[in-house]
This record gives sequence, structure tokens and C-alpha cells, in this order.
Amino acid sequence: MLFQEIYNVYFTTVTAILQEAVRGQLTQDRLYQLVREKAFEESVLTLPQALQQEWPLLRKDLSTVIRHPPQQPLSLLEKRWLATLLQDPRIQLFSPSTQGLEKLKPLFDWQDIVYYDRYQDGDNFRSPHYIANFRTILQAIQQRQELAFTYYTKGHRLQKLHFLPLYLEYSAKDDKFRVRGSGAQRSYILRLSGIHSCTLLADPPPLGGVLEPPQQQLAFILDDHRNALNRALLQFSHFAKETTRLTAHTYQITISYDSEDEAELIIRLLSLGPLIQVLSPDRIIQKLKARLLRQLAFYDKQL
Amino acid sequence: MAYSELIKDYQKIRTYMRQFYVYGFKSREDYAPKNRRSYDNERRRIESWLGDYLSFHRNAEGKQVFLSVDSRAITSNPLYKSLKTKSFTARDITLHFYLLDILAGGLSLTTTAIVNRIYQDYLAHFDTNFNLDASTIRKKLQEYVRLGLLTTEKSGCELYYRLTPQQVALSSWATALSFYAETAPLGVLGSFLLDKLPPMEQPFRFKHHYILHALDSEILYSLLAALQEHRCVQLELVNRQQQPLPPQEVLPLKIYTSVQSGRCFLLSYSLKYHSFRFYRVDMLISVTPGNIYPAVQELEQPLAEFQQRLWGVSYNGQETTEHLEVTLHFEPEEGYLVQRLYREKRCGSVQKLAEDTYLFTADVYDTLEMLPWLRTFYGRIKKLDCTNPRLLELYREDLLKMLALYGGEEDALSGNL
Repeated sequence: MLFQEIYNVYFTTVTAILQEAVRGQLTQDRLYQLVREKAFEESVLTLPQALQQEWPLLRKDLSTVIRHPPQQPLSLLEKRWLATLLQDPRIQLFSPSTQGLEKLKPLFDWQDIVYYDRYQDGDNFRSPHYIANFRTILQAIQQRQELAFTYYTKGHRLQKLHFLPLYLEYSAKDDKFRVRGSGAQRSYILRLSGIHSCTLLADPPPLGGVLEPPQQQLAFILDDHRNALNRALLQFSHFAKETTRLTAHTYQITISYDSEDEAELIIRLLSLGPLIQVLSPDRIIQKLKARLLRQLAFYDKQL
Repeated sequence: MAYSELIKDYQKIRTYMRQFYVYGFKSREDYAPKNRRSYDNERRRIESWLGDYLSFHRNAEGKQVFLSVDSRAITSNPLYKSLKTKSFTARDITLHFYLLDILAGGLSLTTTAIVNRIYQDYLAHFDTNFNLDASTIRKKLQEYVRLGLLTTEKSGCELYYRLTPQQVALSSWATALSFYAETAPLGVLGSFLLDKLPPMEQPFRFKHHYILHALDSEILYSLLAALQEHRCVQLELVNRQQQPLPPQEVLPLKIYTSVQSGRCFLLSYSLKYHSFRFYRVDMLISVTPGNIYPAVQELEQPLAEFQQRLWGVSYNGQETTEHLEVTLHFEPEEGYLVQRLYREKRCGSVQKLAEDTYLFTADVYDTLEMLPWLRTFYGRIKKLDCTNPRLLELYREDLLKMLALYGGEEDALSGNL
């Protein structure tokens, strides 16, 4: 079973509280602070009281009967999950220690998980060149260091640039990593598979810079038949969105998306066909219309 | 019973969270017209766990609660918090810390010695009638052995308990965990493990990230456990309206996950119908393990052949497949669309007919399942042929309807069709 009390937030929080109590450092304020930091919003109403009155762990002066700073030992389930990760090709990007996992049976076989609509041109995670670039970028992100890149553009032109990498973005659909970063004047996003080389720069990164692409809003009406509502809402569930019921079977949905993802969004809107009608922005409506008219022209030629 | 933010049974809150997250337009009346207190308690719990992501709006139908998460902007799945809420008793949490403390430093002790220490070294310090009998302590010790936190060794007639040696260098896993907790099946285990490490800045973000799968973790775990052991299971399931359906006895074979729609399916072999069947994992309420299936090897070849004829997860129930041919025209500057065709073709094949013309063909059980994908090539489809006439009808009807929606020249098209 996954749904176990040992993974409960209260157990994690009490571990942190008792660690401080064992060291004789726990105060009333610190106790409440730890509960606010580690547990849920309403936990301050119950957890401190239970810890001081119902569970014989803390004395009234906030000292504890526990003698050793409590640890959170790994369960067999957690270890078997780690052993499973060792079977995945992407683990080579990280190379964690295999110590203590050698004899454990993986929790599942990756061959039994079928990502049936994943694109077939994912990154080559086994390539030593790719792994080296990945690790350099990771190091730069963690140490906040600028990187100098040589990069193959989509037109196979070699380009030189340098910026501060902020994070690595993974797409489950594409099975690819990209690195997003910030330069003095603009933000950057590069496909990891397109990076020819990257080198850590010693100079401190520039202050400021552009971070995230601007957000746009898309509004559409959805007619709920053939289970369209569930399909569309689930498909768009990874966007921040708001849904309003207009009539018994029609809904208006507004989602926020990155401007750079507009081409992909149009493809997804087309896939839903006449079950939805885009209300705004007009730019997307015109693009959809152009695609439909172009399809109409093919019919005219065919006949 | 007094309200608590912790829960014993996950199923009810699983349904509420899905509704808040996927739909987000329902009011209190829609959820629980007969049991408003139940709705109020579940909403309050979710608000306590996920307050930062919960929003409200009010209209004539009342107040609507919804979960809104831009999954590209977050570094960890907030829905994992719901799996860290299992209720427990005062004895459970007290014993947890007593046992870990007593056995710290590699001590091996019998149940009797542990019981004595609990009373002498711990409970004696409190002026309380807190009761921990030997039977409760023994049961907890056995539970922790099953969970792998403790191990046992026998010496003479006595059974000794000690902490399982922690050989795993967890800190070396920190970065990998922040990636796999979000991308691997049963990623919530990665979140549990990250809870054991000091907080760190997360170097990853995730695009096309469907976080809702977190709610199905327990079901998925049961299915994968059965799959590993070639064990049959009984599925308790509901339909789209959340009404119970007759239980099904199946052998789990594969998990089919969509990275584009957010859905997850079980591919199984039905013991009743002797055929392959898909079930949506989010519609499974429980998975009860049964007997080991004796002839798994006999299914390997038919399964491989079955999988080759699937576009996604739809099966028409027939042995025969449907044939589809699409001729596509791309402009010279649309090389990226050729790439799209190759990377999205799945079990289909692509043939270059001319510099600007490509032929896509596929033989699958259900070509209707391909319709959404075909629509994404509107504007490039020169010719479409299919042995299923319904696909051709729907394809044309959809184009007509969309032209009507967006102000195209639908009259001209309807005349031609």
C-alpha cells in the first residue's frame, strides 16, 4: 500500500520537531514555525496541541524523551522504486549511487509502461556527448554560473551564445529536454539535442534579464457531447484554466498559455474539431480559418 | 465525528479532487445535494492541503471551487500532498518514534525487551494513562518488518528486531529524485523520498505535465504489483457517471499512458471474455489480487500482435483491421511538418511520393481513433482513403462544421460532398 501513515506529513513534521528537541533547541515559536513550514494550512490547529498533550513524546518544557535525533528510514517500497529507476536509460544523466539497491527487485518493468502517443524522435539519453552537456548545464544551474554555448539552430547553422541557465525543462510528449535561461537582453530556450558544446564561464552572471515568455489567454466554447467536456478539460488540465457552465451542455473555458506554444496549441485545437469554438484571440481564429480554407481548396482540386 | 484534515479512506477525496481539478465549474449543489456536510468537509480538507492552488468564483448557481495549476510553472506535483494524509492513532505515532529510538545504534531486541524499555525509559516520564499493551507493540513491530523498516533474526526461541541497515546513499539521489518524482510511474514515492532530504532548489520544470495521475497512484501500484507476479485481479469500477459497473476478473498486462490527453489505461486479458480489454485507470475504484495466471507465456505472441494493430487504446472487438491511406502535400518551407509526420506516425508508415508529397498508411483495429490526429493535418491532406466509410463521413462532416463555426465557405463544400 502506498497510502500509509509513515508517509504522512505529520510524521515528517514531528521528525523535524523532535530532531530540534533532542538537541535541546525547540521553542514554542519554533514548533509552530516547523508545523507551518512542513504540514498543512490547518495543521497548526491540531498538531502542536496533540504533540504537547496527547502523544507522550514532548515534555511540558519542550524537552523530549527521545534520545537520538529521529531519522526517516527508507521503506522497502521506496527502495524498490529507486531500484526501478536504475533500469531507465535517463538515469545515466544523474548517476546516483547504487549502494544498498543491488539485490532489490524493481517495482515494475519499464517495458510494461507504454507511452503510446509519445513522439518517436526523443533525445538520445545514452549519448556520452548529451550526458556531458546535461551535467554541465545542471552544474551551472545549481551554482548560478553562466554558460557559453555553441548551438545548432533548426536550420543546422552553428550559433554562439552565452546566458545564465535557469532550469531544464522536460516534455513527456516530446521526450526531450530543453534549457531555459536569461541573458542581459532576452530569454533563451535551447534544445539539449542541438547543443554542440557548453562551457562554464568564470565571470559572474549579469543582473536582471528577461525570464519567462509572456502569457496569453485563449477562450473557447465547448459543446459537451461524445464525452467532449471530460476529454478537452483533461487534455488542457496542465494549463491554468477556468471553466464556466453557460447552459446544460455548453461551457466556456479560458486557459493561459505561453506565447511561444501557440503553434502547438493550434494543432491541439484542430484535433478537437467542431466540439469547440475558439472565441479569442482573433489571431488564432484567423489561423484556424486559413487551415480549413486550405483544406477546402484540396477538395475543390480533387473534384 | 469531529472534523480532521487527515483521512482514512482515499477514494472519496480522490473523486472530489478530480472534479475540482478537471471540471471546476460545479457548485456545492452539484456535488452533494443530499450530503452537504460531506462536501464541506472534503472541500475544507483540500483547501487545507492545497490552499495555494484552490480558487473560487460565484455566479447564479452558487460558489464554485476549482483547482487551477499551470503545471509548467511548478517544480513538484501539489496533488502528492493528498497521499500524505493517512490518519493514524496516538499509539501509531508514539510507537513509531519510540521504536526508531530504542533500536537506533544497531541494537537487536526481543518484543519483551522493547515493551520493558517503552515503559521504563519513555512512558515513565509522563503522568498519563497512555496505554500501550504488548499485543499492540508486537503488531506494530510486525507491520514495520513488512514495510522494510525493521528486520528480524532468530536466536534460539527468541525473535530479535533491529532497524534495517540504511545503506542507500539518498543524498546522491537528490537531483534524480526531483526529476523522476514528476515523470516516473508512482512518482509519489519520489516525493516521499524528497521529504527525507533537506529542501533544495529544483533545477527542473515540466511541459505537457499531467499531474492528475497522482490521484491514481494506489490503483496503479496494485496493478503493477499484480503485473509483476502475473497475478489476476478483480477490478471494481465505475462508469463516466460514477455509477458502479459489474466487477471484472482480469490479468493485467500493460499500462498504456497518454502523454497528450492525460489518460492512463490498463491493458488486460479478460478471464470471462478470453480477449484483451482496456480499462481507464481513473475509473477503477479498487484492485483485489487473485490467483497467479498459469499460462502467461501463451499470451505473449497474441499480445504482441494485438499491440501492433492499435493506434491508441481502441479495439473494435474484431480480428480484422481497417486500412487507411492519407496523401499529404507540404510546401517547401514546411519541412517541420514532414518531421511531425515521421515522429507521430506510431504503427503507421510514411512513404515519400514526390518532393512535396507523402503517403501515410496504417492498418489498425479502429481508424476512428485516428480522427483527432488526422484533423491536425487539415490544410495538408490531399487525399484520404479508408476501408471504414464512417471515418470518411466524420472527417468531411467535421470539416463542414468547423468551416461553419469559423465563417468559412461551407456551402461550397457541402455542394461538393
